[in-house]
Amino acid sequence: MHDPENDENVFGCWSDDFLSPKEKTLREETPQEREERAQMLKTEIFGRTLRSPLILASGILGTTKSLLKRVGEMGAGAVTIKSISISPRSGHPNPVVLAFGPGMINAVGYSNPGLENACAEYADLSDVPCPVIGSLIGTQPEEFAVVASAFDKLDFAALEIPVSCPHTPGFGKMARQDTPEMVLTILKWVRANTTKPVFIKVPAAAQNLSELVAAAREGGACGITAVNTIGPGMLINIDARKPYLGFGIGGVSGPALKPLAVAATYAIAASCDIPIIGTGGVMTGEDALELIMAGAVGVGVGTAVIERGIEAFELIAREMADWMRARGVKNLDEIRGAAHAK
Amino acid sequence: MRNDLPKMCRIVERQEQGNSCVALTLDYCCDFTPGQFLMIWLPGVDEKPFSISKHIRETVVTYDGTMEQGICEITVKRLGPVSERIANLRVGDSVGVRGPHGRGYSWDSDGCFVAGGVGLAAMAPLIAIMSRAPILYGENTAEQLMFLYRFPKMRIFTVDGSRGEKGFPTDALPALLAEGKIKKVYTCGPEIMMTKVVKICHEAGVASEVSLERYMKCAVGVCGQCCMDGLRVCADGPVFDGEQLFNAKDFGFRKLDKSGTWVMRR
Repeated sequence: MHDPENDENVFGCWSDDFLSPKEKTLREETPQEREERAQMLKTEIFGRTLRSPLILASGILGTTKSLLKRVGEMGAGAVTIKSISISPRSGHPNPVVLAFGPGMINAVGYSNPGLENACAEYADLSDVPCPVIGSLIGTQPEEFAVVASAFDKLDFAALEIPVSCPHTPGFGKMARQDTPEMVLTILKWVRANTTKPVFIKVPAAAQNLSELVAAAREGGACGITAVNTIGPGMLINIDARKPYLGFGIGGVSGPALKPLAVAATYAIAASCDIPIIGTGGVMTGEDALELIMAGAVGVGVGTAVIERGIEAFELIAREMADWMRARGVKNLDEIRGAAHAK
Repeated sequence: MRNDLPKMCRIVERQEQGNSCVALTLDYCCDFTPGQFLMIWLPGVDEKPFSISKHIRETVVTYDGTMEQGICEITVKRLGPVSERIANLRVGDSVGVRGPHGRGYSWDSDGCFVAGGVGLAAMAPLIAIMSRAPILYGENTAEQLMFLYRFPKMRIFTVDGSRGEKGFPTDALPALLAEGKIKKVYTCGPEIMMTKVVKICHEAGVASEVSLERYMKCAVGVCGQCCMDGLRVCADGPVFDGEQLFNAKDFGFRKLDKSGTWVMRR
């Protein structure tokens, strides 16, 4: 490879790593193991059978159909698109996403191509090898309804309504959409325009969590996604004397968020039997099992993609299966909500 | 998880390169492979990706041990308001730096370079260590040419013929490949030029590596903003195998803008 006769290593920057880029190679599974894993991780949610409880969280990678397809091929049980509003939004100025050690902080500001472009992008979802969840946003309940009625004609398996974004003016927390009254109103408008199952994405560490869940059930939501990023949060660069994020404040996710996601999932599962997609800080199979033991049916994966790449879905699924195999657990129903046992 | 927050770094040297580009040397020591990029942050304004155009890292022996020191150089073309502001920074000013990110070029001693405009900067660290590889470098006019002293043996093309040969660097590529000595073509520049390079290499049966540019946000492969055919330019790239792109539908055809809307090639 490196020929010292012809070229000098001027910078000394060639490492072994450079000559053979380290590919994350996965151990080959035997067909029996694969079959066994499929049986173990099979999950029923929103009327569909997923091959794994792992669901790509909204706002992560869900910008185009080609990426959803790739995540699906990587073994995700379902994928969620990046939230869509009626008109295009360019979002907040950069930096919008930063990994800071104990987690990730983001203030993307709901950048999205708008409803018309999104309908063109997701018109044919047949080549995405898993169910796709449509995420929709609006500043007014009427706007949610417009997006929902357009999404109703598309091939989405379910819809998700985040009422909890902590960093975008006009939406979510900053527009007080995370009140039981607003959840009821939004659900009324959305449910009048679609027959698809609807999930409500609730904020982290909500004081009124039980009221929100009660409102979601009353409004006819199929399930709850718990939780969104927690915020507002801020980090300041002391040399620049300015906040890192372009918008200043943002939502915190990753390992820092996991205890809140587990607690919210546990609290909702304790109060009622509504299906929950537990989301927040899932980096490993153990994290995912923790949420399932708290009572989650599906498990959202987002920030893990920074650390482990798109392979995260395959890696987490294998770690779950390994743990279950070692302890003789046959399927996820056996351990779902196990932490609640008296 | 990793800590990827921008670190404030001083600009220690500034060189005008041609009439539209500026090479800024940053007091930033890092591991690096040619083709990788840094995110440059103007606090309170914006953050943009720039390829590293020169990199030095050395171990210095001091009386009580060793220490690492080094610099990175980025080359900024004045394209919009943000790059204009970065290009106008002076020696002593600070910018936020995080990275390097992405996957760089892989190495082949029998390579050649096809550069268009500021794309030369992304390949400059590789050119510097492959001193005998031919370089085909195209610009619009003679005034825009850069790195003329750093790489004196470049074969220069200008669109208006004001210096070097009149035309595009891709004009000379088929003949160069026909000689049979080149095993790999490295390219960076306008996407229309790179599509041509990939096509020529495909027909000649020669490997190629292409460095792409897209609107970038997170730079760690999580936001999906730089997606192209299911590939994330920031994490899976920015350098891709030419054969992989040859069949890619979006290559040379469309890109996502800041909002995530497809923008078609004009």
